[in-house]
Amino acid sequence: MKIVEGVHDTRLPNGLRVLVRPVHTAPLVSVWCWYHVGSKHEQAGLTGISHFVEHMNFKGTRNISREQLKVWIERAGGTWNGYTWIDQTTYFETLAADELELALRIEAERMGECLYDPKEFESERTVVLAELQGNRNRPEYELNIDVTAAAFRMHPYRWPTIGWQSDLETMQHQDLVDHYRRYYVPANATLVIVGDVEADRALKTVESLFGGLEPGAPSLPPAVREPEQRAERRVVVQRPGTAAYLQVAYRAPAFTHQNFVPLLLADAVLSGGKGINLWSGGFGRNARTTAPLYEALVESELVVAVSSALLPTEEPYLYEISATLREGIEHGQVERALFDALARVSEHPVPEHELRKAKNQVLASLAFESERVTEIGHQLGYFATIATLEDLERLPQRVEAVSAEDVRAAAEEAWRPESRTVGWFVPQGMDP
Amino acid sequence: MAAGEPHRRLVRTAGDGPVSNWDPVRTRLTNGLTLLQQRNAASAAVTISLSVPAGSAFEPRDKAGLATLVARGLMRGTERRDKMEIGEVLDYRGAHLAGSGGRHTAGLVAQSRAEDFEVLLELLAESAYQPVFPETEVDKLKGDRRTALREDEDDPATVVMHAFRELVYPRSHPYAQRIRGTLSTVESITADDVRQFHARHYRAGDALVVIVGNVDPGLVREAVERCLGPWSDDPPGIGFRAAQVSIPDAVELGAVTRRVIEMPDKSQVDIALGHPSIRRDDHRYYAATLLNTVLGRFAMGGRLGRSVREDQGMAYYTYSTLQAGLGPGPFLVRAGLQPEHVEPAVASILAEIERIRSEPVGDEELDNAKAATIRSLPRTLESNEGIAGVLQQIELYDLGLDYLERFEGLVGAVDTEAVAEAARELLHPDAYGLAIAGPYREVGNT
Repeated sequence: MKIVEGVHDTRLPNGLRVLVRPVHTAPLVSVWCWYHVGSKHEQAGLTGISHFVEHMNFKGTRNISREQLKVWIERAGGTWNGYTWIDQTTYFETLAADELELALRIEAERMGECLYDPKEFESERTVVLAELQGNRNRPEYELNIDVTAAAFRMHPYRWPTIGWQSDLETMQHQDLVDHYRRYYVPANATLVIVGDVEADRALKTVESLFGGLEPGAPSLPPAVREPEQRAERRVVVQRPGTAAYLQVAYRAPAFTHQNFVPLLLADAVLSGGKGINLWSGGFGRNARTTAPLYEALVESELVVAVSSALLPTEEPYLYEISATLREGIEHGQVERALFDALARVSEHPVPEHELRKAKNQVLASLAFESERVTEIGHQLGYFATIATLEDLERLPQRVEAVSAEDVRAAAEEAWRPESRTVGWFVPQGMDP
Repeated sequence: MAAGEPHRRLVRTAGDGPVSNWDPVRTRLTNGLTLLQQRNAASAAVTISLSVPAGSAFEPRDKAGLATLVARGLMRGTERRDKMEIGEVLDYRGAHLAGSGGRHTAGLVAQSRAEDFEVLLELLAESAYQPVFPETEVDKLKGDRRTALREDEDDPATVVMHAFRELVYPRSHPYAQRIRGTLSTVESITADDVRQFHARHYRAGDALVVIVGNVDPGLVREAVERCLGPWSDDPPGIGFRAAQVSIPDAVELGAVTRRVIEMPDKSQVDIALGHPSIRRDDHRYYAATLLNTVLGRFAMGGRLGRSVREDQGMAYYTYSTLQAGLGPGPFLVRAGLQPEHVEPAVASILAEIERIRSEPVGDEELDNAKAATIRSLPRTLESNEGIAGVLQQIELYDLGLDYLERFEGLVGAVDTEAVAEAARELLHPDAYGLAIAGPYREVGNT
């Protein structure tokens, strides 16, 4: 199914962009509301505020109580959720198609009428801190946080989306209200409707519910630019634990950069193709059996699992490789084998058969990850927010057009020793 | 009740308007293998699952972890191809094939683009009945498992579930077993153990194959006959459902038991509170399911979520679950808490359990639970994996191919009295197991 085909793309006078994509395969509709605000729009001292605001936006609005919101959706057989990441924040409901108006009403209220009860704020602070503590129970999380923080010196991509604990403890109620009012406005949002609906009717309902909201202004990108990385960086996290982990992060191009697709294929060659859907995932998957990364690390019994990811982002982010070491194996051994595997891809153009295989994997993943209305809605909104729908639509053609030399050149450019950050998680008691 | 649309509207074929395409077909091959197929014309892909009664309930206690190792080893080499050749077939097409095992069943799941169906089925078939389990691959699998078990030891959410099961089931009960095994049981497993377990439990006559996707039904039958027909029926099986192991009853707990696993270097405490409950074929199953939905599922954690998470802000997550299986699976409440909230959260959870036993669930609350249960079916049936999962459950629990047509009636027939009775009979706030894992120290411990 072509994702962008048949999309009705409209902008209301107040700036709200509306994408409607009729899909009549099941009596369902998925509504996603995207805000162009993520952790990269935050200031030091208020890290994690976008995510905290997301939590508060499930706590009830002027006309829909916190309880009603969930009850109504679930009564309609629906599921709902939201997430905050580095470039954006989003909310969705997938439910019976005849309940479209309910989902739209909830999103319209969320945009303009959230309550921000001070008592709810304090109770939710505890919940957010509990989420942070839950994450910190996992050593891979701790390592990832420190590697990311080391890989960026200036750009706000360096802090965790959930924020630093000290900021979460000191953030004030008014900070959240200000953040909400600034960014939750039509001019900074994209509303996506995918499913068993009729486009004109859906759009009329959108106009009646969202048309009266004040436009506001789109968010601004961070003023700061990350300086070029000129030397390898290293992080060693030593903590109690039972297994050792390695993470290597290279600076990587943004989704719209010409090198993104060649690097996506270089990644597919190295460890297996994954697609570009953060919601349906595939990024944590172990390297494929015939991929060089599997041969170098898993087949050689250095690690039990290794995965890699090139995530689509608005600004240059990271290409990450993560491995769980076998017992008794040293980090240095794994690193050397990993860098050799990377060199195999970046030093010589891949044989035609390997390139075809990589393309097949990426194209199959793109198909698998857009089968359900929820996934289609996610992809349309995600890419409308950080790029253009044309970029998304042209992706399969761009994949097909990449040559073996393009892959090699993109790998060589990205996988330079001086642009990497290497992180070791060393369980205490084990010498680094 | 506003809930529930006629079953006929649950699934539609692409572009055909409101026409049901729920029309699964069951076939039995001459070797006894059961095939269930369902076309999904809206999909570009196909999902194939193969299950056999070969989960951890079938393994000897001193070889815990064997069943899952066997399942994971299926694609590590067959009589026809080695691991790399298998990988090449899959990788060239961007297809997936993976082996896994649970307590009752084990097997393979595969996914590919619809046009690669036959190649995928061929590979799945030979992995299922012609695996060779090379010694080197078994050693590698054991090495992987050792590291995974070490990681489990460091994960409070896993540790707490091990402790909970050991608290509420007798030591010898299959539901107390760790399905990934322990360091010592895994160490003792040999390549011969793996081959023997496979030879004994992977039988054509006990196997179930489910195929869902955009593939012509005639082609499916022909390909299954060609790829899986040669699977020998010697020794003969007795059918997927009939060959399931008999799971013994659990013992009533009679009192509160509690176990704390101190993990001082962790940041969050995980808890599990509950006790053994009913089997899937218990006549109270639908009442118990709705009870569980009201107590700990509906609208993000039900009453528990409202009390512990929303009103008191004590947890990032809390919910309850009822795992009615072939045997008496557990009813349990899970929560992730900061250490200082453990005691008040446990008190709140028990208070909610007590309340749902003593005060009847209201009509509106029950209607909500029913509506959510019935009307969420189209979401489940939207994907090939979802449909395949439902078909496997239908076969495992002998629900009948008309189950979805009866589903609304079964759920709709439960009234508040049936839920109240289920609450009184099935929830035991004075006889449960409580496991706590994380940076928490039991009062009185020094």
